[in-house]
Amino acid sequence: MINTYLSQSLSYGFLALLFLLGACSHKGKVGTVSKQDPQDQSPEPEIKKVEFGGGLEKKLEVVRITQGKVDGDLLRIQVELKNISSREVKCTHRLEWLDGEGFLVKDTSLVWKALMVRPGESKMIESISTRAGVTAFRLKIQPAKNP
Amino acid sequence: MKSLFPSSILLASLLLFSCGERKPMGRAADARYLEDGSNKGLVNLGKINAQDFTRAANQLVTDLLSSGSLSEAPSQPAILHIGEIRNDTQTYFDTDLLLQGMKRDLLASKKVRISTTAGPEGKISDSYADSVRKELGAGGDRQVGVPRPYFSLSGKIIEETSRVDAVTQKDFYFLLTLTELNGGTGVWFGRELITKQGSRGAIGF
Repeated sequence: MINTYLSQSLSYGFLALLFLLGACSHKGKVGTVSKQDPQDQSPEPEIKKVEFGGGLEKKLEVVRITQGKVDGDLLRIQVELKNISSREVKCTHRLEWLDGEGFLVKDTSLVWKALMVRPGESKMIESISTRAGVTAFRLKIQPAKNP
Repeated sequence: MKSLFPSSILLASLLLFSCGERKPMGRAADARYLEDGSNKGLVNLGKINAQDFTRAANQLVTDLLSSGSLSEAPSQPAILHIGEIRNDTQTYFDTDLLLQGMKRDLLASKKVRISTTAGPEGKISDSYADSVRKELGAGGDRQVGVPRPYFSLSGKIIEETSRVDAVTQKDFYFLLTLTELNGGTGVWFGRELITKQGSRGAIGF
């Protein structure tokens, strides 16, 4: 009898602990999309990785990254995101520009912006760097706090 | 041994609260710093928050640069005069909260130079620089050039309110116009809309 209670208690406690660890691991996690080669100047650079946090990897897919130049020297990018889930996705995203030496460019793009994508819908995230020396970027995506 | 089961629940609860976000309890101090552009800032329905100004500035600069209007000036970089941006919302704020970010980005792009010593009715950014320049100019100093703006940027910020039952929607329109001074015509009309909807403010978004 004692052994039964003991094993039951331990089992429940262990399960609760596993559940909590799983739930906590998503907190504050940010998904990152960036190019395979930061110096890649081709119109459709290869996607290096898609690391969506908070379950977003099961809902959003990066279809393609397109890039070009404005006025010959300003990097312009467009990231196409598709909602592959059956529910609408509300997330926030932030773009970081990096110069040729890998330093972060501090401009107004360093702000989180809200985005809502309906099921099956594709949306574009588009931006232009404001510095001529920018060669790479990082797009961070995370679930919205108020869905 | 029967008490082991409640103990495990208690342990799990303690772990749950240790993982959760810290919330103020009683008189506990909870003031903290937020990074610029953070998504944990306050979201007010009735006013434009810091992240809204930054987002509007970024979107407008992106739109202006992609339009190619600044490249039409015969001499590069063209000189840009920043005119009046009227605040037509219900709350007071300094429009430099929008403009300073835009000026920084535009200047960094090297597509324009921004005049700070010329403006209508004495409204200039740097009155000291202006008075020194006038003195030097009156003394015949040939190094004092007179910047002649090729473009002028002006605009207004408008607020619209809609309500359905307990839900309020606030629309903040950032409307900017770039005028080419020689022709006196608008060459770019920027529009950025920030919409907020809800019944009350929130912390973060």
